[in-house]
Amino acid sequence: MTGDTAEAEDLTQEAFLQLFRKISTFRGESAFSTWLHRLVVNVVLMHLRKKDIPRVSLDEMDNSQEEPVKREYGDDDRRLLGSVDRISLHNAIEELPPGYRAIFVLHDVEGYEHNEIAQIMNCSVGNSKSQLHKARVKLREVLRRDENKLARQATPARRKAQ
Amino acid sequence: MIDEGVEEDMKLGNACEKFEANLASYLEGDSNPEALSHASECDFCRCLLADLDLIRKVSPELGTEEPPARVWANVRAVLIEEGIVHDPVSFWRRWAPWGSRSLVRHPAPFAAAAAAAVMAVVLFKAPGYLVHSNAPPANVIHSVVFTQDYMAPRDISSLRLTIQQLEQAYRANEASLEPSMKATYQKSLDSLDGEIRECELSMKQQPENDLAREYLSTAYVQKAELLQSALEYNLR
Repeated sequence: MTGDTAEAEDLTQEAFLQLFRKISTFRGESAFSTWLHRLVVNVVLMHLRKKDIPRVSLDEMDNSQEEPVKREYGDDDRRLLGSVDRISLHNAIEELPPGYRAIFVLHDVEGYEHNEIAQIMNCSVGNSKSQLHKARVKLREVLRRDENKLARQATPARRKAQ
Repeated sequence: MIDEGVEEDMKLGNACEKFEANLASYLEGDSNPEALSHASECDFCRCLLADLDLIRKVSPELGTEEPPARVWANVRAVLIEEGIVHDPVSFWRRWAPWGSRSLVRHPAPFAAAAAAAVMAVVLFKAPGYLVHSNAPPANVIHSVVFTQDYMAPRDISSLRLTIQQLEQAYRANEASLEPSMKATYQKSLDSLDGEIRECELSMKQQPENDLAREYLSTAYVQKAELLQSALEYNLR
């Protein structure tokens, strides 16, 4: 969520401190993992607030970013390479807007269900679903852009070799 | 009149829009034969479906990253500082609660002082009270060299064996000691045995606890020296 390793370490530390300080407030109304995730999200949001980073609620974001999948002429039948490697996927995830990134990581990487994500992120189930889809589409765009970049870099080198 | 090609494109465009609208739910596992049928006709939509499916399948492989050990160490340190969790009370803190913070960092001088104190009690009391006897000399006490430095488990077990032999020899001779002297030795031995038990328990619970290992080896050394001194005075 932060896109910065040192910051993520500090926040992990703060989140676990909060966990120990607030464990007595856990009433078992949701799964413990959901409660813990919610606590972590709150720690991150507090941090962003302190840094004065503008935050957009997930519901607002959902309405403001309705856009169809980009269609590029002449590129219709080119698929992503079958082997999307971990590094390029990791880099692409880092480029996602924070809201998309959080939902994508929770669902597709960590395996949370939409109803759990809705509780963690304080949004509706429908919103979680639509954000996830947009996150995947956005990731595809980033991955394709990076593949194109690599292909362009490789072409002059091949020409030189010939 | 609309050109046939344009009409075909419009139809395809509408189908693509419909496909996109249903794509999210299809990827979530909803059955949608219409979406699949469109994907088989439209190159763009087929690629889109295959790519999103690929992303969905590859992502779980990313897994989660474990924070470095320093994060947990910091968390523990802060929690101890705040009194939310407590360090297990170790024997040396019970022994020396006044100096647990400063001495534990430098256990060697502390251990040396403790050993010296035990030895001093024994040496100052021994000459006057020791009763010479004809008990057989203990030949196991020769060439016993002790060190208070860190000892590997193998060294600790060989030291334990030496102490066993010294103790057997001491038990064989203790009857010849004057009762009050014997009581002083026994008190010191009991105290050291208690210390050894606590260290061994700590090491059993935390095999990586270097401090417990260090204190255990120090306690063994102290016990060996105490037994050795008792046997030496008995031989005089």
